[in-house]
Amino acid sequence: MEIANGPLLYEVVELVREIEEFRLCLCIQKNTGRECLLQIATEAKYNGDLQRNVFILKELKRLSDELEMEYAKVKKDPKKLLNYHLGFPEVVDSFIFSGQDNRQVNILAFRNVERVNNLEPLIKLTEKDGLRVDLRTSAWILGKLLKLLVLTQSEKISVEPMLESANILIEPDQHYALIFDWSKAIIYDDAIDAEIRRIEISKAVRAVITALGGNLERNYFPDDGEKAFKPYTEYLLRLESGIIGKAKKAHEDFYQLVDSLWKREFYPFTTKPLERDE
Amino acid sequence: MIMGEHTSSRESFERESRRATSDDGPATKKAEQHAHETGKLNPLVDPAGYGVIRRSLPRFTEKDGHFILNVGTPMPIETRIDTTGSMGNNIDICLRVMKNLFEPCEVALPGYDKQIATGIFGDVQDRFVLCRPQFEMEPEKIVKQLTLMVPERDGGDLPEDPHYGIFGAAYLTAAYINLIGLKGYDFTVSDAPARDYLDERELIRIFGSEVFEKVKENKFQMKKNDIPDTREVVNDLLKRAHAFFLQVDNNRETSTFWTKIFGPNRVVKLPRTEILPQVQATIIGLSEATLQLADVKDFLRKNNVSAGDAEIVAHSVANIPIGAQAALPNFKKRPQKGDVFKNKTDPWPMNEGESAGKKPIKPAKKSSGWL
Repeated sequence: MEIANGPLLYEVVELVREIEEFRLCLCIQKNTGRECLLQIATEAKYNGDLQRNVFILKELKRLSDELEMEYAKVKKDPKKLLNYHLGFPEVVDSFIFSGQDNRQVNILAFRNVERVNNLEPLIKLTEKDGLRVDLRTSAWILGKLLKLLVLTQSEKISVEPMLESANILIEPDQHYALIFDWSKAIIYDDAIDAEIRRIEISKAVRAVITALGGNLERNYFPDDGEKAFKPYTEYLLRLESGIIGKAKKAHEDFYQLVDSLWKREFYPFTTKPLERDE
Repeated sequence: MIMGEHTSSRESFERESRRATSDDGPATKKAEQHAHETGKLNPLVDPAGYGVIRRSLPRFTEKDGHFILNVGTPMPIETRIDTTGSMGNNIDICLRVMKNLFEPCEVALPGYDKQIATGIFGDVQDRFVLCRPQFEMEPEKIVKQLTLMVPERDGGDLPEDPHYGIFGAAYLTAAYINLIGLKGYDFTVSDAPARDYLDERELIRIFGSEVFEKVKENKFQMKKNDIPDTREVVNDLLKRAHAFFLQVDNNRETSTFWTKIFGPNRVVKLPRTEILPQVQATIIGLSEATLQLADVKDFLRKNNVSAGDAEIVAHSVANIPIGAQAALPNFKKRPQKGDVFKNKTDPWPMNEGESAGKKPIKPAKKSSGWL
């Protein structure tokens, strides 16, 4: 099936996900051959959610571009980039589809990701694949999530309602972790309430603890015999309990710990079988 | 034009407001003098006047024993504006700028009978805490009621008292729109926080000694010794109206208080009272799905809002429940101009009553081309 918005043409390939508010289909932008996701409201009454999603994504792109430009003025290594924009989808197109009951359609893509299927919801790992990540893999996932929270909290955008494992996508090869759906984000005029910031950090940590195969109720983590096990997992539990109310501080502290435990180098995405008893 | 078919336009409102205002002091000067002399508000704007309950009803023409809807489904838009302290001249501003409501509202609310009640509030330390007008559609009546307001321009201590007006909107309004399962619009405009609790004595002072009987008459249960607090009043208001707090200025305490009461998605920045009509039309348009979020800035710019203000408003309205009215089950079934009703008090036109109000039928499975 092909759909058009002005000169832009999209070939819808297959349905990949469906929730109450929208359906997601893999699609190809015919003009460029680029793989994208077509997000369509299940009913016109959900158009507003999809409109807000696009509004926030565009706002985030504008803010991350501004920060990149500011950073360019002071950075010493010209190759170094902040890359905040890798933490959320790119808006390719957005329109009301009159041929489908005037439902809102968003065409979304992922920067530097050719195959959309390379991105997977974090929850799929443990729930569907029966796998868990190792400590070092979890470190980059949490690092990326905290970095994204640094951007959103400083720009007074609360993502608290969307920080769920099902809404966190990871790209294992390039170490991307991003939040997919932003339709429930709230833009504040003043700083985000400290309690909400704290919850955001806790929820990000909780998602990573689940990916580690951990169990918060029992303070349990699968132990692979790594030296970093105790200091790392204890820190995760403290962070989850809300000891830090600002993502910037949490991000700095977290990397201080990570740097003390492991060498900074590319570490391949590593999973282990999830023991159901764990 | 048939009686009861008059509506407001930019031109007609401008003409009436010019007639009602002069360079010799505020437009409310006469009403203020009258209130000082008699200690009373004009019954049209006295919350205790005209039976206390404010009504928003359809306008019909009787023909062959039936009733033909004149303009469209009545849409009540109630606004209460802060006139304490530095906001004391808000009625004069309203008279100057309300003409800007009608054109954008034609876009936001096509085919509705727009019924407007714009009042003011003060502080419980004032003699007149609230002026609550009737819902009106015609410019001369809207303007007249505005000139009958008595702003005291004082405000006493910092928290102000709009919650008594919100109480009126929640429990002392009878609106046809609610009969058909849709909601009206309600706006509170202020730069200050309010109080968490309502006082029985103040309710009686403002709405009269029969206030609780009137609440009951309007089909709400309430005990004198168990008056809902401000948050509960707002929760009840949200059952019958899309309600918003429009915050003037950037006072942190104000936004914290109202975010706690309304939730973060119903507190919207209003950069200046002068652009209140355009901001209201924007919120209504987004709720009715007649305006897209991506088009808000252009919509505001087209309606004479500066680029800076449009940016602030567009940012702020991104949080509101977009399409909230359009998502209600009877939205598409609402009566239109020319629909015929058997009785004046029927909620639905003839032949509509059977299908309306029932659970919407799930659309049949669409063809393979359906996404």
